[in-house]
Amino acid sequence: MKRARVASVGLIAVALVTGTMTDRPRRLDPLTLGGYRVLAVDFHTHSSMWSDGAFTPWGLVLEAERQGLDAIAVTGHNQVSDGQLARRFSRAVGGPIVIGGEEVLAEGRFHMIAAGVTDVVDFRQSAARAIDDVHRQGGIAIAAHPFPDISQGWDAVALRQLDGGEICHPEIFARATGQAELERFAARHPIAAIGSSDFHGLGQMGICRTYVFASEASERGILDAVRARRTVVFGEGDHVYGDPALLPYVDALRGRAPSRLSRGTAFDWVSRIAAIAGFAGLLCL
Amino acid sequence: MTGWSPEVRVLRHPAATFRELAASPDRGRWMLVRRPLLLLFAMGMLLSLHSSGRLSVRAVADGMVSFAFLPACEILAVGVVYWRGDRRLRFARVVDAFFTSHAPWLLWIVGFCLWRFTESPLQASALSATAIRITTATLLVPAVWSAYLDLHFFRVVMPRRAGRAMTDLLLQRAIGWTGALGYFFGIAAWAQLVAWVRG
Repeated sequence: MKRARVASVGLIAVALVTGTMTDRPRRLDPLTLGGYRVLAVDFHTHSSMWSDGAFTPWGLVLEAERQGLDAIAVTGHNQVSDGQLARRFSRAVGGPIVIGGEEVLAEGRFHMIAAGVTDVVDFRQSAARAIDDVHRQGGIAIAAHPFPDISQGWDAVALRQLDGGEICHPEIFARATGQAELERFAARHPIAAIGSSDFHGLGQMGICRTYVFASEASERGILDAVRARRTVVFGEGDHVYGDPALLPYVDALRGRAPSRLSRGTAFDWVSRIAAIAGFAGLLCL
Repeated sequence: MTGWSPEVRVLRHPAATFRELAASPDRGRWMLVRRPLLLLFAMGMLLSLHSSGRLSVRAVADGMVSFAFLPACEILAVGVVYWRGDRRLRFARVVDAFFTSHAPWLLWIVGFCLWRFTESPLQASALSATAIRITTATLLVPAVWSAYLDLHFFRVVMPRRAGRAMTDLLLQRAIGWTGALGYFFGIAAWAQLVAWVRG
């Protein structure tokens, strides 16, 4: 049995070596189109600090680099501390732009991304008041996964103030009417098209992402671009959403994100199989 | 059964396995961390495989840090129960035996990894409502099974009478799980509670 245990540990080592070899940041040349810096942004990520995520705030930064994202918003559930921590870490290591934020969870009424805020936005107020609060702090307000079951709080006043709404969210791939539901919400009032992954650790960060046409590669540039609705998003079936004036540039954006359908390289397969076999062996023998 | 690990043996013969563990040679402070580390490695593996489709040192280490609160809460809870009664065994040994009964959870992780290991990033990111319901329902199996094993643990290792073992199990779960779930869901749980109270 000792030999079997050694073999199990060996398999885990093989899994770690092959997996780590291919676990590298995805570096792309900066892209400028129509005089704007185009930045790939995920506006909706959660860390393991009180927000039921599985990556640490600094882990989110490293994961963003591997997914070829230029910026992420770290959006704690009704709190902002993990976003601030991630931002400090990213600045220290020269990582992607981190926008501090919060996902305002007003259960049963609305979920809202407050990106670019430093103080907590109270979830007990109405959506319109919460947006006021976000704007006072210089941030932007995005309707998070506004499916019909959590959209009751988005009244006409709130919609007029809203900066953006998620048109691509992983759930659209899991529910038959998901994409249509988000389209219906977006049609209620002109808002910036936003794609974000609501990343909690399982799945791929940036699987839904927003291409932001910013005047500068900075947090301010990104927030200003969303306010001006200069965004492009690929939804279900790679359908394109966003500013019609930017449609001529869409082809240049295709292929910049990792494939949603790829099951990985041969190294990834070896890593996966060896990991599961090795751990099962270690557990049982 | 002698060739199998204690994690496998405890599933079939919990009382005998706990007696054996309680009588096994003491390996010092290593016993305090080795099984909690195995649990953390499993959590790191789950995270790494399902976020990137591979086992990388970076993601595993990050998952281990992220979920360190789990064994920390569990050890704290076992510690409270330990200090309330008989302390003839060293605490490190008690912790080691206690984490052996996490075997059903570890098997569940292996099963989940097996079930999902051919998935694409899209499939990993977008679990259907049915898949989420099934996954959540299957969590009941390790939850109940490990509670059954822990009853044996409290009776054999601590050792407690039947009624006291049940009280200790409930106390351990109340402290450990409340702490872990409170940390994990954090401040958002407060919003849920407010919504629930408001109806």
